[in-house]
Amino acid sequence: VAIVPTQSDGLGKNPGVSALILTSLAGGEKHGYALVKDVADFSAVELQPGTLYEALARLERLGLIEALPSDDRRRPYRLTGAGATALSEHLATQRRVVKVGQSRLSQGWSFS
Amino acid sequence: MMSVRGASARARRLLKLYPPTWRERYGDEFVDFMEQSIASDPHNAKRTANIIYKSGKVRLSELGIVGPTLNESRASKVALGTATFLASIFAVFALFYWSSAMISWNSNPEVATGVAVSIWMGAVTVSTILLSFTLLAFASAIGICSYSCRWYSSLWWRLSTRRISTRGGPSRAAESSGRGLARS
Repeated sequence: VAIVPTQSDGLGKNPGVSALILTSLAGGEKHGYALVKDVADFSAVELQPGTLYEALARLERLGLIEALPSDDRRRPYRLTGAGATALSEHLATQRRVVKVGQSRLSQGWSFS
Repeated sequence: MMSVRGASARARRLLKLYPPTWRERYGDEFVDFMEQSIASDPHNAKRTANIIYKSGKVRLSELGIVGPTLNESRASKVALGTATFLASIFAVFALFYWSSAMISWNSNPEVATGVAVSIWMGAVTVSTILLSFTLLAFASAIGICSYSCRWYSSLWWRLSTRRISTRGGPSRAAESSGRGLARS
């Protein structure tokens, strides 16, 4: 049963992969292979083809990215305004988590 | 290093794992992606396993069993069709076992006289009918829900958009056009 995506969906399922793709596209439009290479460069995460296209379809459905017309087989994707907003909110949440995590670690743990 | 032709053939074989609607939308770019991926790393079992798993998920979603379909305009029809198909299979098997039990019961006079067997066969008949009706109700519920959920979701979408715009955040129109967050 298809449910129309709502604003509360955020990045949808698997927000980690979605955030990596949106972060990559925030640097400019890219096609699939260039996107995977860029994600591997900045995060050391190797996105598998099935995972990539599943995430691209989901993000496109949520309106966070859009496919651009292309004459050849390589279809570039671009971040939308809604995608930039969703990524910004996701990163703000992550920053809060990092801050709390680092603060608690510094209080109770010591690393040599 | 694998030849371009070999990589292309393998990419097209892997593409066939996906359903036709998905191939129509992503086929060309997927083949292009795979050709480059196979050229740089010819033998990668993890990659193949990932494609098999994800294409299976896409096929299930295209049948309306899990997740949204690629073409949402036909999602309700597909979900209803799958539910009806599964209900029909169940009805055929249930009817087969029920009729087999009844024939063997009626054709064996020694067994037929047992009160316990009569009660058991009655219970089988009633539970078969109940299960059939339950499945029919389930299929109908999917059909009704597929339409009412769409209505509810569109209502929720309108309400959430209004709520967000009154909060002072970027409106949906501005977000979709990119005016909410301008790129430098």
